[in-house]
Amino acid sequence: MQKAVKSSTPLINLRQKYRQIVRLALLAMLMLAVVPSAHTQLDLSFIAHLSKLELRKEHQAYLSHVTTTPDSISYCKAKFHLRYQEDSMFLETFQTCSALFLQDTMAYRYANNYFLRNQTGLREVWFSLVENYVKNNPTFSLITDENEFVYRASKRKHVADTAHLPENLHLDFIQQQKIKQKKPIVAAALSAVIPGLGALYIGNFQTFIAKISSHAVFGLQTAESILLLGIVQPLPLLNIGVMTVFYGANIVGSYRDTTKKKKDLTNQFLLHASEHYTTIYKYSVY
Amino acid sequence: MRQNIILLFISIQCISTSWTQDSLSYQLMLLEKDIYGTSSDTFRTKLTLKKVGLYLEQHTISPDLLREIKRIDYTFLDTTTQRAFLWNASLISYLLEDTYYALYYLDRYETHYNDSTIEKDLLKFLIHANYNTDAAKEQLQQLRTTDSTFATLSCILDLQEATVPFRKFKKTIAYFLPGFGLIFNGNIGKGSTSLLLNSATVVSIVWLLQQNMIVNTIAWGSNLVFKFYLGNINLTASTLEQSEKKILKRLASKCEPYVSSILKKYPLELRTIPE
Repeated sequence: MQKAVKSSTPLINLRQKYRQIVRLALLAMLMLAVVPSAHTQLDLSFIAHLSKLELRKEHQAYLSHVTTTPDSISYCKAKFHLRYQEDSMFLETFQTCSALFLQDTMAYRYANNYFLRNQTGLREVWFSLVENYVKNNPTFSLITDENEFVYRASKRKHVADTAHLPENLHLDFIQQQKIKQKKPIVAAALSAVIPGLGALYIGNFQTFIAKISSHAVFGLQTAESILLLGIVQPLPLLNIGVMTVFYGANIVGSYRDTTKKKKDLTNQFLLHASEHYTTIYKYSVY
Repeated sequence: MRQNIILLFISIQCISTSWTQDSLSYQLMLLEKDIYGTSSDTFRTKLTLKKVGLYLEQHTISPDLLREIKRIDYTFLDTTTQRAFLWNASLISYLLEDTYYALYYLDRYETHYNDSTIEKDLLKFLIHANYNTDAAKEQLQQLRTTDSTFATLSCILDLQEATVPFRKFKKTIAYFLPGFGLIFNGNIGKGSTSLLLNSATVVSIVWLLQQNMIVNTIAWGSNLVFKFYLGNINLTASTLEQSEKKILKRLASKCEPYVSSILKKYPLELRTIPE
């Protein structure tokens, strides 16, 4: 019995030593896993430094290695996407950190100003995302921002008051509000009655003169060719064909011009507003 | 068993961490963090130089690398490092087509160091060839005195001066004889069509006048003249431009083997920056 105990003692010692080695190895590996991330605590001033120098690669690498709450990471990534004008990525990331982002006055105002001059559909997406968030979170108080106010003013159905707008935006605003009342279908119908009248309806006087004179010339040349050659001749038929195409194009053109002018004047007003506020306030993401 | 599973899990985590640390962006970021943290200009310059070194290790010649180079104040570097840095900066700027900085760094290099190597003169010629043909010609003359094979590099200068033969004549004749500018340039099909359309316009205007159709004459005449006569002038101009591009492409492909054989003989290499 004693012999058996004596012979098993070195085996037990060996096992204990083996366990100790494994524990030490585990501890060492844990240290290795933890140490690199320990120094990557969120440093906002360093992020601002990276942004200022446009060190995009480093900025991205920093955000992928930093250890903080998922919300904060999303917030930093949203700002990164906004800084480097990755609009779709920004809008996607914003939805995961809306509260944090909207509390950051600087970033929120920067985003408003940035999207105000965005002429793609993303401007509408941004402002509706903010609106929806505020609607769904009634307790959340959003700061008032001029850019947001201007956007809402451009969207109102009835002619809005210019009193709350800066003086140099009044003219653009009035023009935008006037054109907003015009309907493309009315412009097309007017052009069908008198060629070019649709252009006059949306305030393009020169286009109206050009269109009506060219139609008059086409009419005259068609009449002249019919009178001198008779109707069943190549030239009168060609003239009639060209005139019909021109007349049809005038109607379709009036419809398109109205839609385009509405869009252009809205974009112009919002762009001027964005530029105006940029000169007053120095917007920055960081 | 449980211990082994934990061990495996941690190992995977360690591997992934060390893998991400190896990426260029991560290393650049770590260096930038050190740059951000230091107040010493010399140390900052050294760290930025390390970033440049990292880019070069990865053979990444990009605008990002040039931006890092521009951040470096070379006066903080020691003589050996400064020499290698200025040379590399000039070469990289040249490769990234930033002629202004390529010349600036080369000028600094020449001011500080008496380098009479052919490689230096070759780089100077290549930079000048991009914008100052006279200076490049002078440089080429100098290179030819050392090695006659440099004469082949005159093809680079030919590229700068390449143009379509009788360009002005072809452009002018398009105003008087529509279509002839294109025909003389070798575009027989386009030229003949243009000539035919313009002739047909004149014939129809005359016919309309004979029929006493004044309104039709003015309306069709003005429309067709604008369309075909002015159209022919514009077409001639754009065709001449296209021909010029073709000539340039042909000359460039002819020049390429000469340049590569010269660069094989006198390679322009980036110099090692001492640690």
